[in-house]
Amino acid sequence: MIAADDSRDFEVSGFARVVAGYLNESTASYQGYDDSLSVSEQSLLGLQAEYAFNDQLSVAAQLLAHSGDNRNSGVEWLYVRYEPTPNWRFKAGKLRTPLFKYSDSLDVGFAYPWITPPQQIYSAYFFTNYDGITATYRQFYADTSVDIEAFWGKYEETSNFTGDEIPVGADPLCGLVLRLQRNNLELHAGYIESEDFTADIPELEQFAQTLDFAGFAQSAESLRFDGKADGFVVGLNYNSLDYFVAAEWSKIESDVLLVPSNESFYATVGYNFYPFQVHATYASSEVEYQQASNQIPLGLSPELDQLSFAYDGIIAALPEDELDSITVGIRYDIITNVALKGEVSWLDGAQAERAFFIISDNTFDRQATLYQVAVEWVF
Amino acid sequence: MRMCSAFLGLFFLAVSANANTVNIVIVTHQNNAGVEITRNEIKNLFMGGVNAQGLEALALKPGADARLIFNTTILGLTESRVQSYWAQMRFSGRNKPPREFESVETMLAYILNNPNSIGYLPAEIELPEDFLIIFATR
Repeated sequence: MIAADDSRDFEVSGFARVVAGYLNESTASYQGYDDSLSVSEQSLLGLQAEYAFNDQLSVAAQLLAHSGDNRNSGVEWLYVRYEPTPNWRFKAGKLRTPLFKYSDSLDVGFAYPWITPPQQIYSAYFFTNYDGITATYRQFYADTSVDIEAFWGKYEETSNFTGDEIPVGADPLCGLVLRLQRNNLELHAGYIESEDFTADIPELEQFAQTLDFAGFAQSAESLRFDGKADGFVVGLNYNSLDYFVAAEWSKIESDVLLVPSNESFYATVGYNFYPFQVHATYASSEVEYQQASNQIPLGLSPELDQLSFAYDGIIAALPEDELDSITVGIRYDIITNVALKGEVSWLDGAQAERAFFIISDNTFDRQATLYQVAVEWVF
Repeated sequence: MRMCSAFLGLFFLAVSANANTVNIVIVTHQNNAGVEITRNEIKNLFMGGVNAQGLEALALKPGADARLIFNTTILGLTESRVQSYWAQMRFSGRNKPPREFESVETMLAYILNNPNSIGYLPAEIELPEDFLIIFATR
């Protein structure tokens, strides 16, 4: 990555991964995988260019080419960095949200042990990136490295919410992340919130207007996607020559009826016998929707009955992603910048729920096994 | 399991065959006479942390015996973990790994021109006058 004698004013680096996966299930898919072997769901190539004007000021851009249907290719990061002293770092531009341990480096598979990081944590939150600013203060105090990051900005993306691409926004979006490292133990805690979390779903807005017109303002309001959201995470990592442990727990809440509160965690243990590493992870998620607000009386008129059933139908169709999983994997670092990985995940979703699957036949028992192999490369 | 043991055996054979060096020293420029540094401060500095003296950490390239000893005794991490860590730091725009050198000579030449830097070298090194050992593993 670095030539010793070269000036480090301009640097280009990158990462790539080729991931093949197969799900042993014909009536559902998981993260895009179904019962045919696919290499296009998670494979990607990232390029990063950085230019340093001097020791304090630099600019960086990261471009991503992604083969998956659920991800857009394009500019992932684009920012100016200013470090007036070694203790302070400021960045402004298009940035990745740093809430979880790996959320700002999720595309860099080389950086973590799994092929697919626990989805209960890593696919549960919306605000993966933002346009804004971040300030980090770093200090080494009492043999502990302390790193406090505050960020502020706005999130604006389209999200595949009900099959259609709809605009989702959080403006402002802000948060705080604390990282402590002492010897080989790392602790992190993060908080994120948005006072104005919105999504524009035309069908729902139409129905809400009908409810308003019929005089059920509270029911109408409950279907409007406009409210607050916040998330909290704590995690720990311990690395030694022989073994490592990692865990994260998070809780995400919103006062929008259509967005459930989500509580998830994972715990990983791993054993190193360099250049190999084996690991096992248990992960779980629980979701809960707020009480719906159906004010529409039944039995007065067929029209009202129809409205009431339609409201209940919308509530009943809200997806619940409750899933327990066990993942066992191996990593082999062939050379310093290339790793091979293999991984099996046993997925056990809650009955009658979506459980992160896309289900084509409702008799599916919400149990499936995902097999994956990957090549991870950084350069 | 037998295959694993075989791999393990091969690995240790490879390591012990390679590791003539069992100790390392942390070297800096004579200008820094009086600077004291603890094992934890060295570790923090080489993992990209800040330090009061504003020193720059210098490393040898992967494969060097002294690097393996440094990873093992100071960082307490495998090379794989070190590489993963720097991949995350680099691509999340947080930090960059220490400069890496092909040889002892190129590192010493760099320190000579950049007195505020420190690097690890094999313990048996014979240092010219301009340099100073500020930490040694035993």
